[in-house]
Amino acid sequence: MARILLAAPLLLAIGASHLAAQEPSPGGRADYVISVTLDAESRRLTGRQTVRWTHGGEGAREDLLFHHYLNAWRNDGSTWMLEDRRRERSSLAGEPRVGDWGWLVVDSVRLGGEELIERSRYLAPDDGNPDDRTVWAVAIPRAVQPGETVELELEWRAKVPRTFARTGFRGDFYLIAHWFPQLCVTEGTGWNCHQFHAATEFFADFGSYDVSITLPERFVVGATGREVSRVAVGEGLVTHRYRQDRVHGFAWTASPHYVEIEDRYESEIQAPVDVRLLLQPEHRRQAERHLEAVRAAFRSYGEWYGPYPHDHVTVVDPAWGSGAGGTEYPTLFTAGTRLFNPRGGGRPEHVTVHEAGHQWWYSTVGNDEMEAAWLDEGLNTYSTARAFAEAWGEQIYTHRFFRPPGLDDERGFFALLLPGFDHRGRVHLDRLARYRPDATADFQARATFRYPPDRAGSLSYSKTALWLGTLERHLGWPELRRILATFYRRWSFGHPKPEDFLDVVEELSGTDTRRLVQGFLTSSDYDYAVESIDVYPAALQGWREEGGRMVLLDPDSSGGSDATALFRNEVVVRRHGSGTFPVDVRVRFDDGSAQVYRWNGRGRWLELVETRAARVVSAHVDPEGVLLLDLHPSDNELLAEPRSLFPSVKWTARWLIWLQDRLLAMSGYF
Amino acid sequence: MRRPLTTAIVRGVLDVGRAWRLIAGLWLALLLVALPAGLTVFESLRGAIGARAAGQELRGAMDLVWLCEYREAARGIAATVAVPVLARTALLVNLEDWWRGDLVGPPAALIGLGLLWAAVWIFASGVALDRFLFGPDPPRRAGWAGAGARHFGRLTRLAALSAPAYYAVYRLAAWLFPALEGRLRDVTEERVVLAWYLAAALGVTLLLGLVELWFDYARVVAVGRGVGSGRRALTESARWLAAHPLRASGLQLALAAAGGAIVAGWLLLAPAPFESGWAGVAGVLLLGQLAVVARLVVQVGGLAAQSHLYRTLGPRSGG
Repeated sequence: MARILLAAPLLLAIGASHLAAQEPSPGGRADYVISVTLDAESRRLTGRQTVRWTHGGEGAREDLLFHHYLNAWRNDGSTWMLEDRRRERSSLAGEPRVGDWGWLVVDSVRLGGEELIERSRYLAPDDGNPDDRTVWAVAIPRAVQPGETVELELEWRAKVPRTFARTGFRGDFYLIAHWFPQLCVTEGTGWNCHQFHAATEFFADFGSYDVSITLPERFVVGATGREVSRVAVGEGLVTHRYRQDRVHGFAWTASPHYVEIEDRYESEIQAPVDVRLLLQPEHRRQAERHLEAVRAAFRSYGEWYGPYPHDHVTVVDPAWGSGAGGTEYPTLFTAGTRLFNPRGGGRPEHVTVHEAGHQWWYSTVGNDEMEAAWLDEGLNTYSTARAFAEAWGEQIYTHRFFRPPGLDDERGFFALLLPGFDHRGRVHLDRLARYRPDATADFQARATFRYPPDRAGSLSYSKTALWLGTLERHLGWPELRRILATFYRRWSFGHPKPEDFLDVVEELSGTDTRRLVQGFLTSSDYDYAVESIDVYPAALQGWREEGGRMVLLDPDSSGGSDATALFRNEVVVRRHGSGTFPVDVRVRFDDGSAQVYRWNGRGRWLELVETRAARVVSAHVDPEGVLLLDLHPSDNELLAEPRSLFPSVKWTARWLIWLQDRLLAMSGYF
Repeated sequence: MRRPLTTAIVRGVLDVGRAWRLIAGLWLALLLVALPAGLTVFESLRGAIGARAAGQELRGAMDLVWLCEYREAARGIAATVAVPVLARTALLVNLEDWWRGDLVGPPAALIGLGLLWAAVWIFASGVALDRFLFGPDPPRRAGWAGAGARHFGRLTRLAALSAPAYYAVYRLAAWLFPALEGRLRDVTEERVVLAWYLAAALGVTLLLGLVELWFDYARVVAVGRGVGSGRRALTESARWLAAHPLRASGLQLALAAAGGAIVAGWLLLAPAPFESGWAGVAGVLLLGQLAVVARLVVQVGGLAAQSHLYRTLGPRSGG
């Protein structure tokens, strides 16, 4: 309680200063007014939009570049599809069918009334793929100067894909994200505009959105922003108008089946936040669990980093099998649950906290997810684990049964909690297991879209979470929190780069910490181990010169009982990984004493020699478990005497019961 | 002839009670088949734990950090050490694998053990069927061995013939569910999809049960009538089943229910792995062996009940 009272003024101070800083950072700005109509029969979108763009970079621009994300699913030759073949994570079950593909085509683009469609073309700046149509350029008759604002009018058509990844339809469920021609970001003297890659997400300027969505009246709609009007326009259609300022994207969802639940999050450090939960009817009983998770996320993130800058958020529970779960958009995110999800197993709580957390890391701090996805995914994964542990503590291992044969999805329908296999507060446990196989896949400092597509998640999410956990243990939570809160405050509504994060680290924690973080980004694997423990009598054996003559030493007559004899204790600690980190080595002796040695961790090995009247019983490198990135923490501690008999028997006994039953089950065949 | 199904079940229970030596022998044989693999896993665990301090933590609950590392390095039979296998779900895992067709599969050592156990079981089932079909007098030791040897060939042929039948059902299942998924790709409710999958699973289970029923009575025919030809035994079994479908399937359902009760019992009663002393380990092992013996009782009792049903209803009544 005392700690909470002490922390409260600090939290309020962070909140107040953050609110004062919540003006869009200088730079580019893109304001959109969009009217879109969904034809639910043909699954087509027809759109008309006005983009008012302020050039925030340097140097004149003679082209305007747009993302056409929906074209990632135009055919199987797009860069997204080619990369996804390697990672095999498409939400689509089986091969795509004719009606599954999606596309986006612009029919008209005008600047100052002048039609420019003939001056448009597709680019593939990352890989030159001629079949990729996710970057579209329009040459303009007069160059736009820095700080100048231009207004374009576009007319376009799109086909909504079946969900390959998050965006799309399943039955009468729609999640429509990154669906309109969206301007890229200017940086320095050029455009920062990448194709759509399988393992990366999005990047755009902040601005305001005024979006009118027309669709059949049976649909319940949720979207970025607040609904400002709902008007019947005849023929069974309704237009929903949403507005939102200071966001860098706009997503919406529609389904006739949503159950709407309203809630309000209230906190001392910020204005109330209206929470709108759009739930699948079959998950009605899990409504409170979703809301509880939203509250936990808002409480933790708000108190740690600063207040949520908007006054509302929409939480979407996507349709079964839609592949639209677990994803974030400004002021809207999708969670995802199952029919049977027992309490204690962490779902839907974990995914809800994570996606809610993206309202801080992604929605507010708008880093470039194509070049440095770790800045939002990693910071958020770390924060999620922390927030989850704070709200729920242990997460019990869950195994799902009833996995129909022949299906790609190996997760079963019925979940069972297995006590005794808890994560036991090791919030980064699952991250280490995911990171370890991919530790040497690539350097984190490379641009995310250049990572191997099947390994990008490990590097962006897991590795970052692990090294932030390491920093927390190294610096202490108050200092790390100060770093993250400052980064959040400074880069709200801005586009930070990794260097900007490092600058904040250095400013608040010094050059050494910056070097450490740089090491995390450029080293691939960390692995320390205690290799050996050896204990010898310290007394000399053999010959010694005494008074000019050689004397044979007899260990048996050297005097002293075993209790007072001296021992030479040798401990060898080894660095197997390429990364270095300062670590402690704790050596315990059989007289109950312990000695802690500090090692800068840079050499390949360290030999510790201690001569004393006691034997080493154990040696432990990194005994406090600071270096969460250590690939094999189990070899960090070594005992002088093995104690493996009991656990080996215990777990073998349990395994044996399984084997006997399995053989008996086979009897049915014979 | 009145209530032959109930009588068969009761006689099955009584007979299996009298065949306690057979049960004990089978349990011992099962333990002997499993023990070498158990020793391999024990050595693997012991080697991995070694002098590592993780061994201290593993005295209580499982250390998942350690288990992840262990599994990444484990090879052969040791690779089967996993959470659901070590937890109270161990028997459920096997039931699911039976239904999915994953029961007999890699690692190779597991296949080898399965074949070894199959030989033991085929021999023992020959002994059991001989005894249940031909009389209650306890045979002499030599008689047991003789009966087992006499029927081993014909029962092995039937086991070999059953392989393609089971394979066909599993192939059908591997086709059925993806096909169903394709048909349900616009369904937005999990409960609807689950209902379809459960219906399909019921169909697959019934087919597996049908194959099992067919071959079970083919074994009874092969032993009871001394039919050496697998094809003829299967034909007669099919005719007999066609003549007594309800009673035969009723008995099969009763056996399935008894087997299911053991799985459910283990799921509910098996202690979470918190035992940290030798007495606890011995208790879990004892409880596990009771479950194993219970399964053996159901399986041998099934042979007894099937034999009685076949004898009661008459071998020729079907054809």
